[in-house]
Amino acid sequence: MAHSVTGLHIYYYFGHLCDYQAWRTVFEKRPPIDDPGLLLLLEQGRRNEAAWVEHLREVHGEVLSLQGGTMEERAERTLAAMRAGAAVLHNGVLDGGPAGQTLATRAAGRGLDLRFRGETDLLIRVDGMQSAFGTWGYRVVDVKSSRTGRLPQFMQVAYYDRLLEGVQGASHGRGSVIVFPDGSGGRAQEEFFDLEPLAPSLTLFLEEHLPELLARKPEEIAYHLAPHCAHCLWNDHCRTRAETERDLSLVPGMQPGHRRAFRRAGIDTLEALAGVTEPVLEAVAREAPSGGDTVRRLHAQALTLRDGAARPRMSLRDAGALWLLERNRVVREPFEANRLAVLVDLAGDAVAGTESAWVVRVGDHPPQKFHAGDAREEELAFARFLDGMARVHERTKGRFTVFHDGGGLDRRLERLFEKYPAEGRGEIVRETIGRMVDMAALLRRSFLFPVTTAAPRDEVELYLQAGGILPEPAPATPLGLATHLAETAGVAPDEGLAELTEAAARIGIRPDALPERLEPFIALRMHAERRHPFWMALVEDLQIRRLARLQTALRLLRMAAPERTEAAHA
Amino acid sequence: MLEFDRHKRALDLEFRLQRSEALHNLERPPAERAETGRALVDLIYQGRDGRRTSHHIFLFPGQPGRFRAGDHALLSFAAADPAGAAVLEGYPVEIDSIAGERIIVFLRRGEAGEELTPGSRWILDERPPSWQPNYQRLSNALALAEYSVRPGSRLRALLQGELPLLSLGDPENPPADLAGVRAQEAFGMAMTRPLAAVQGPPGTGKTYLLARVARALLDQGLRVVLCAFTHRAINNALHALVDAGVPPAQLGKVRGGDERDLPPGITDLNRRAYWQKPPGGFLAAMTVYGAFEPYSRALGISASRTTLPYPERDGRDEQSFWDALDLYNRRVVSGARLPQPETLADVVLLDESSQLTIPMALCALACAPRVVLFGDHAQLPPVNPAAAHYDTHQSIFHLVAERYPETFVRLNETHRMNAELCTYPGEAFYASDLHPSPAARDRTFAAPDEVPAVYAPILAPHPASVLVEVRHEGQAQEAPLEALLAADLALTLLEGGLDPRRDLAILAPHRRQTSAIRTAFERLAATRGVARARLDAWLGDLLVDTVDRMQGQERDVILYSLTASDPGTLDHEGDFLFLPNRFNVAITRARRKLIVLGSPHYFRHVPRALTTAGWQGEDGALSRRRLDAVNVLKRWYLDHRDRRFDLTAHAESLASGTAKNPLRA
Repeated sequence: MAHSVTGLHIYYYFGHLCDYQAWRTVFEKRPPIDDPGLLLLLEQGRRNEAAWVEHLREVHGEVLSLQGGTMEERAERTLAAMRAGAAVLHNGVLDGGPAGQTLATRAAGRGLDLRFRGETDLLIRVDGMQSAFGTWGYRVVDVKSSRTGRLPQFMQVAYYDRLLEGVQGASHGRGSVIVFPDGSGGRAQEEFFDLEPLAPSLTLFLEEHLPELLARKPEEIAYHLAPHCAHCLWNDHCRTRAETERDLSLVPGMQPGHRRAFRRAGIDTLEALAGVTEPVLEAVAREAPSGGDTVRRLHAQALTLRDGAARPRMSLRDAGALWLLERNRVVREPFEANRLAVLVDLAGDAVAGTESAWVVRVGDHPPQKFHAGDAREEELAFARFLDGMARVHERTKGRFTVFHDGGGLDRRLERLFEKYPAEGRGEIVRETIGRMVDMAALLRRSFLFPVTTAAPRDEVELYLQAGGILPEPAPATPLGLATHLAETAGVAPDEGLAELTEAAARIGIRPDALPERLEPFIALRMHAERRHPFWMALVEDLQIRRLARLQTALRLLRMAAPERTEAAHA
Repeated sequence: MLEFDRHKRALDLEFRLQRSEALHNLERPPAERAETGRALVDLIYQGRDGRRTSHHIFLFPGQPGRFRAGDHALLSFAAADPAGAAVLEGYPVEIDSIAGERIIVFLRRGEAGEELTPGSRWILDERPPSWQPNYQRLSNALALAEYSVRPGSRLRALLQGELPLLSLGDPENPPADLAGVRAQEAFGMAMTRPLAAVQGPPGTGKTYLLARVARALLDQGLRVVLCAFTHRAINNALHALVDAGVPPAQLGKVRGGDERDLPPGITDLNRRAYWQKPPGGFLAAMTVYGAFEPYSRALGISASRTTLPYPERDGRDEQSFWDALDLYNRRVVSGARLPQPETLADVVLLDESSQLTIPMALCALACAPRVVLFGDHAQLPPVNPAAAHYDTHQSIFHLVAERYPETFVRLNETHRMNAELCTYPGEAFYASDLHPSPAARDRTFAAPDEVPAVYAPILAPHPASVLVEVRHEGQAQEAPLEALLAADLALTLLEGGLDPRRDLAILAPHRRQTSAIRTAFERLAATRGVARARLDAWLGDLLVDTVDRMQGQERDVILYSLTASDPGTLDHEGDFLFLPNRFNVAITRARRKLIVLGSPHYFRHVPRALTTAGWQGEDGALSRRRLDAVNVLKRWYLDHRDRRFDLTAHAESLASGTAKNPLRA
């Protein structure tokens, strides 16, 4: 049976797939998508594509749609349309021609029956280009929902172009993606790029890595449980394998490089790592990609996992941590005392392309905000923000930690500074960036439910208070924790959570997966569509409830352990 | 930000970064410093090195870490576990040699020798940069260029690409011993223009040409100053001058660094005395700092007379510091009796100028009205840790090559690489404008008579450039399998009769890997029964070093261990590991045979910075630069697909000790 390698595989591979996912996506039919976020993304992608096709229709007069029928039929119709010189082809199929044949032959050498083909978004006729059809040829355009073009998208277009070159005997040399700088559904923009610089990576993947990878049996493909594995469709496979084999990647924080270093020293399982002797550990430490501290921490982690004791530094997104949670282990994050916690946030106006900054100091001090009302005030707000940071630095004599909620805030601050290089303030910016702690990541590590960032100030407070008062043993799921806290405190669980639980049950999503699954909706909330009223209502609900949920949790924590809360404060 | 402001701030940041990082390291306990290779603990003193009474021998267990011959270091008593200030109070030493577990250091202070008793224990630490004088010179050079009327106006025009390039006279006939159209063109340019830039790709005779230009200038009775980035380069150039027939009496050098390689008969110059009355028909070689001496002195005198104190950094905000410094510099420059370039020298020859930052170059450019730059901006750029913050990557050579295309000449005939070795670098780095000389074109490698069968195709005369794949994963700065294989190949070649000093070198991007290769080499040699004396001689002569230390040198055979295979490392160190200039230097050292060892993961990797970055505006420009950089390696790999040999199994058998040596069977 022949298996297809499509443009989507290329896109995913250069985007985020691990070897095992790459193998599965080629050899197996993808499970139906039930993730609401993905469904919404797909729907928006379709709308964006339709809008651009409509635009092309206005420009060119006619757009030939090649939808309907089998892939083989569509490939034939695509070829015929190109020979006839159609101006724009929508959803044309390229079966690879000689280029695909070459790749297939190479793959066949490894015992693989592969087809290389792709379903393009758009093929645009280019006049004056010499091709097998005459004095015209085609170039590839792909419509994306992102704000700017990304390399994985370019690689996908480069792949289509390679197939197209096999069909028309020439390459246009440039490709393009349609992006939406103001967000999906807004103004569209065509972003062009050269294809030649993409060729080496594509060739190495198609001709070297892919055939080598696909020729392996699935059980021979290396796996490594990592935080993002929690989102993977085939997570069960790797987790089951890891548990059966007592694999080292079950140890939270274990990087592939560490695992390889341990394995080279003959340490293959969690138990073997726990029982390792000091000289062996030293030998591994010398060879491991990071220093001896990390190796020793991983050893300590393995030791306590084996003995059933608690260890810090785990994340809900860490597959190893999830495995632990299911076995009622406790998660805890160590805290740094005697430092002023400073929250820094940066709000952006995507349409104007400007940002406004403010500082909120946590503790007895009231929050300070330096907010730009409009684009003209951006520089002023930024200058005030830097003044604020300078004061913090001066008053605390450097003993402060800057919390932020991710989102590339450090890079954005640097950009602002490049835009308004206030003389003498470079040091302040560098200090601020140097002390930044990703609050969201910290919260995820320290809490048993993934707290997001609707109310950053509360989250920081929550984080600071949660130091010593998480219950032991912890419930297995985030919802379980909330319930546990509620029961301990003798109050009713948060209403929002209950509603979400019911909603999750209605759509068949595991309750503990709900917050993760809903995350894309938060990002997409500005683009709510009538088509998905139920989902969007849920998103709205989540947003509104999130703050309430946080406040409830904080209240519960205080009730559950007032003395320890006080101690943590002190 | 203004051009000068960028450079001033970059200089300031560079100094503070380097010094604070080094001082921070010294605060750590000795064991931790040793773990990162920045200290050697448990040094046991053995005694003086024969008649060399200032040279002392120590033994140490384990690997030499980051230390190499020529490094400056600090020696302190081990008993008190010294850290921080205690280390800084130690004895400053220079490492003379390291072979095996034996190190010889040159102790500058004679009196310290009294504490050295045989059997006593010592610790050797990296010496933090205390280059305040040099930093001051660079800062002064920028101030001079920014504020002075002369030579400032000329220097400002030069940096802005506005220097008039009037011809200084009719071209001279090129010397009889200078062949090649480009070399003759470059010679003509150097002799007739106030500014000329000669790009010398690997092995194209850049130093040879420099010697002919210098000889012709000396024949005209001119005062010539020769500057370079390193003493090694200066010494090389002086050797070339002597070889070109310049009498040593016409040559002088302001001493510094390892002077054992200096040609005999060269005048030992006192920097200050030389500049008081530079003689005609004489070439004075010195570092760029030496060339700045007349201005340093003038500005120093001016500074001592000004009523304005040098601005302190502490207790000021940044802008106030820079304002005060600008004011101070203006006053010092305007109050100084600055010598005019014409009174100091007629021409300055700047070798290795593609490794000189703008402030460094200004030190030398100020001392003469004419300048000839030699360099190659496709090879290693200046070391400048602050460059990323202030976009000061560009060397003086690159700047001149870009802004003065009419005086730029690229030498295009390499006398080093054979035709095959020349092809890829020629296409990738020199716009296909590089070809081998007739003498080099058909040069091939003749492998030793008997080599293990597994190495036979790799060491065959053709292909001259091969890739040896070792399929490891997850290795960062050290790849044991690769190190073992490189060591075994080297041992095979040396046992087969190659000269370790002349014929072979092993390169890697990081010191950790070069240390691992040396250790593997010793281990393998021991298992094969190589006599200790012979092994020590090999280790002393064989160059196993980072690519950066190899620039300017060549060998018949080069083994280059790429090392990394860990995706995280390839992401994190991408800008270093995929730097095309470094790869260019690595693959252009060989005369006859290039063997690159690496994991396929290195070549296949697409850095995460590329997959997540934007491709518009400034981000886009950076992304495209990064993509071009990784493509250099990927294209080389694709080019070598039919010249690659998978020796993973052999490397593993070496590791497990089961590899058979058919020669000894």
